[in-house]
Amino acid sequence: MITRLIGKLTFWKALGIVFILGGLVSGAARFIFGLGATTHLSDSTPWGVWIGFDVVTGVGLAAGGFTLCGIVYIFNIKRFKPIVRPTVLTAFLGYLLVVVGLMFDLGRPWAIWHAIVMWNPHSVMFEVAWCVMLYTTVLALEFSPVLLERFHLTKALKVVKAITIPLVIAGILLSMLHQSSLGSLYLIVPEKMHPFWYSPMLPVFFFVSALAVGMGMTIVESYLSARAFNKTLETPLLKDLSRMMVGVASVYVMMRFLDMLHGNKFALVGWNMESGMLALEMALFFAIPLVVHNVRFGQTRLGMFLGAMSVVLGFVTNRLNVAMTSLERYYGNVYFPSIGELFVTAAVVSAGFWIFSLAVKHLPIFVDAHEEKDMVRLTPVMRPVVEEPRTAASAQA
Amino acid sequence: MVALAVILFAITLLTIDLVIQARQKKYPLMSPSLRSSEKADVVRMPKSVFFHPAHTWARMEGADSVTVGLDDFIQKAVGAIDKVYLPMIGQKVKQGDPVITVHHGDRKLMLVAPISGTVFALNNDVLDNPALIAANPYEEGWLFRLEPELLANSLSLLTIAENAVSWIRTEAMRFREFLAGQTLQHATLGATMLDGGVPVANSLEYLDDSSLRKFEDQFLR
Repeated sequence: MITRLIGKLTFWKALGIVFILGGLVSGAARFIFGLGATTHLSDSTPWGVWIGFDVVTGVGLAAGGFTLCGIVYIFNIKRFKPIVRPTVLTAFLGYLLVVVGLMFDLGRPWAIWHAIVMWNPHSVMFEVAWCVMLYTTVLALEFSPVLLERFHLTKALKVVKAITIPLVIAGILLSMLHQSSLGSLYLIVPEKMHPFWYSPMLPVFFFVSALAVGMGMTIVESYLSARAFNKTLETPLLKDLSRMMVGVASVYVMMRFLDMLHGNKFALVGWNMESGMLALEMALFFAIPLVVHNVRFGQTRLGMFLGAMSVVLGFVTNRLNVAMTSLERYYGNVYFPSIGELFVTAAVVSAGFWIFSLAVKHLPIFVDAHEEKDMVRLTPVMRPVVEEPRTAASAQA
Repeated sequence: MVALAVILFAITLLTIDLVIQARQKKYPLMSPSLRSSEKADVVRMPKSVFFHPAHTWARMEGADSVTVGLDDFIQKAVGAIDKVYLPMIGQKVKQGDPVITVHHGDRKLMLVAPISGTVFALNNDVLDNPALIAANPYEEGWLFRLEPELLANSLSLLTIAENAVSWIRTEAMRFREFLAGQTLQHATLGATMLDGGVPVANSLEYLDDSSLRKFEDQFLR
């Protein structure tokens, strides 16, 4: 039994198990011993990797849901429909895991419900809290047809399908508010942030970059799913998505360039950590995908995947730069997460992959447009010859 | 600092993944099981496509545009296609004219145009990367587009939907009998037929040049 299980173990499964076990132990330690004892967070660095990566980055990486729903249901470009379900699942899981990550970071996670009844409409946090709650509910409803189909609940399915368009519109509105309000969070610390990343335009930057990474994540997730679950890759759709992704990333970089120009920020460019991180961010988010998209290799499946992956990594760099790199010089201390913080974050990401693969195995996530429907089996089905059981009477006869 | 560490970690994982993928390509037994469309005795026959008896297809894209390609049955029988030669843009082709050439190693086969018309677009992606035909001969693996002439006449020879499915089954049996006739000359082929199925994938690889020409005459004209 154990030998069979080990035989089925791949490198990624083994790594996932290590991360999840490490995360469980570290998570338990955080709740038993408290934040101070188990993390490298302090009064000068109250927001570490759990906020910077799990929340600020995680929400952005889940942006594919509203981007693709908008393309399919609002702009009525129906040919993207085959990839809507896996994308909505990714977004739904992304938001659920953001909430899980947040529970580790909050000092008193049991008071999280206070935002529902103790309103403070002047706080950006209030907007973020409500947007996360409402959009997670919307995503749950957008994803519900998959479960209803699986369990043949036709009446409920009809009701959900009837409200698809209002749901999608609500989802897009909430996401626009939410993605941008994460940027607004940092508007309150202009004197602490490095000018490369502080801008009154931060909410707009956050929203536009989320649009690009939403498409990038859809390409990455489609490529990995096609490979892992032997599904047909919707190559022509992903090519179009890849083109749009590079287009939106170009618009974003143009906006950042103008912001740098008007704020005289180019004078700060030099041989320092911030300039290097800005260059890395721009190379990954814009320059590499642009080059990859315009060479022949970029039109292959692997090329599209690597181009999209570069956008995703560029996005992650940007969010971590905003949340951490930009504040390091002001505080004068360099924060690096503890091993427990890293394990929890890695466990949250691994759990996301694991739940996604379970969902794909057991639910109708991928609607195969070309696969089974068009298949013709050439070999005639061999019917087994069943012998009549021999009774005593027939034996005598 | 954290951003740099996260990105370096992600790039390391990506590199490991690319290495694992490269190893799986080198040693296919380590790869997951085949997709149904890749199985030897299964062919894709979309219901929206008209099939020519010589294993090419045509799909109407509008009043003045028909997309043309070769069917899944033939691409499987040929095996990995290394090169494709297509008619030139502006060239007039007649239904049944051999205008498509596919190469597998040093073997080549000529396939016919499914309908008559004037070629106005070629699939450059397929010319650069013929593996796209195997990925999906009806979508990214299309070959060229033409402006049709005498369309009603051309279509009368083609089959579609349920008729195409019956035709391909008959064709598969005819192919099996053809291969059985060749087996006497080429013992290696027998091994592929022992399970009683219809051996489609790569079967043409085992035929010598004269058998291949016979195949071309009997199936591709």
